[in-house]
Amino acid sequence: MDGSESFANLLGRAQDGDEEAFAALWRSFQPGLVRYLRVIAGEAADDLCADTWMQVIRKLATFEGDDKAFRAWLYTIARHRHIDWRRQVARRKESLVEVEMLDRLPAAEETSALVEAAISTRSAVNLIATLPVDQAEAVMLRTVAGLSVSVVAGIMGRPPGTVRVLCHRGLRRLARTLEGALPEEGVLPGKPTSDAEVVV
Amino acid sequence: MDSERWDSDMRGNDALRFDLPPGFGEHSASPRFDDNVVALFAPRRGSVAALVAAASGPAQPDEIAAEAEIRAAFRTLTMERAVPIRRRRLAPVAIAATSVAGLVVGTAGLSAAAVLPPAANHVVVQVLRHVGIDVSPATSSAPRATPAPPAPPVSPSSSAGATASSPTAAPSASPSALRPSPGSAPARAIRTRTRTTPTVQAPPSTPACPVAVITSANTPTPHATPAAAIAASATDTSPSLSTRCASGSDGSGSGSSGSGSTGGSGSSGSGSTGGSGSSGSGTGGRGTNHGGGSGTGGRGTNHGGGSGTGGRGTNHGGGSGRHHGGHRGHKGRGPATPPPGPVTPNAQTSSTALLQGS
Repeated sequence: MDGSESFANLLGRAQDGDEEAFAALWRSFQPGLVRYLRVIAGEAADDLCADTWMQVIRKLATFEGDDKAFRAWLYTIARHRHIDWRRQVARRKESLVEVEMLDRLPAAEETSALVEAAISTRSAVNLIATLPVDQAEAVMLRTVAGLSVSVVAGIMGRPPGTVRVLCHRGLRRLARTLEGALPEEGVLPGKPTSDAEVVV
Repeated sequence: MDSERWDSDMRGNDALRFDLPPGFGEHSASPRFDDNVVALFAPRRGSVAALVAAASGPAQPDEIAAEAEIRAAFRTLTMERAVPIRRRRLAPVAIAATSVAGLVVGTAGLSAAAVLPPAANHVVVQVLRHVGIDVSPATSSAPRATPAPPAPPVSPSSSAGATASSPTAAPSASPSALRPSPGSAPARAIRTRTRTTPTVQAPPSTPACPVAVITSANTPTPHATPAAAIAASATDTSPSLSTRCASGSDGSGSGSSGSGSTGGSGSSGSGSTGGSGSSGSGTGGRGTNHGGGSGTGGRGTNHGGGSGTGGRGTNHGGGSGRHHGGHRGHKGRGPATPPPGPVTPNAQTSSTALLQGS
């Protein structure tokens, strides 16, 4: 999105059928969306992203709100598409375990090098994708998409407190992945120490 | 997780940004540093913040490679929904226009049929005149009534009827006002306009025809003038006639003071063209023409009448009855009352027709 043109103008023009305005919106929101879908859906992210934008185009004329509302709406659609996709996969009895994700898991030394050499976007997304699905989704929606806790809670259908916990645990696990296992720091004050799942 | 990290979750992020790699906040796509979740790890684990910053970095070429495809999809879907959107926008306008047109036409029809109460009818007539619609019965009933040539000389009672049925007085003329006095035989004579028919008297014991005496008209009534036509119409709306019409027709006549009608929209006075039935000399375009001197049922049923002509429907009686019956013949359900007196074979007065028809 160009800084010279506000979101409201772009949205209004896009709703009137202006292709350039819609393309500007798409370029603005597409990167975060596709990364989010790559984290939660893996290789199906591109297809789900296309389905999401098709739905956005269909319903664009009825949308009302600012950029935050648009972002929340966009990610809500994407999540619904993801849920539908998972149901279809389950019906086809295909394996939900994506072997490719195992290859993306970086080694410890590779992680350090990645951090030192300014982590590439794709590698960072892949690293986040190694988290459990709900944690990865919470991290992506909170940090990458920039949505508030309440909005993320609405999208995920979880209480806000749960979203905070998921995000916190996901980031903690990422931290341990990047810096190596730090068992003594893996416990929050007053929290149980049996949080062993943080070790990847 | 120590208390320092826990506390960092509770306070702002600005003091925690020192540990971030330079330039991370410049190319980020979202304001992630407003989120204290990132800052939670910033003091001691800048690597996580760097990771998040990288994950929300600028768009990669492969991420926006499908722009051409999404543009094409946008064009296609926009073209598809263009017509429905236009239709949706026009739908309320069409509904509003239809409603207004229906209201005007319906009100005009009700006013012309004199169904509304006199006061309301007067108001409606005045309002519609303001918008250029004249719905007075004289102008809406028959084409011959639209011009206003001087009325021919008629009998005093018939002139009184004409006065009562004048365009201004007709809507407000109540049936009781139009009801002739028991001794006003000449007024009823006007109804049998073109026939020299003998007097037909209904038996006094006929409950359905309390005033079945319809004197034959010795005075041919010229119908070339609207006044006379209206006068004839006014005299047609006698109680006896209406009662007979009500009983002899489809059973839907109101039977009150000559306003026998079908569907409750009968016109007391001049006949009306249109869906509503009429008593008198009207032309029933599609409805039922009850009685009347020269009723012409276009497509419906013509009950009685001096010279009723049933176009396509059923013609009950009728003066001349040139096209008797139409397709179905009599439909009357009312009590048939034989003619009280000797009726000549050519005696086809409206009363005879009514009696036979009922």
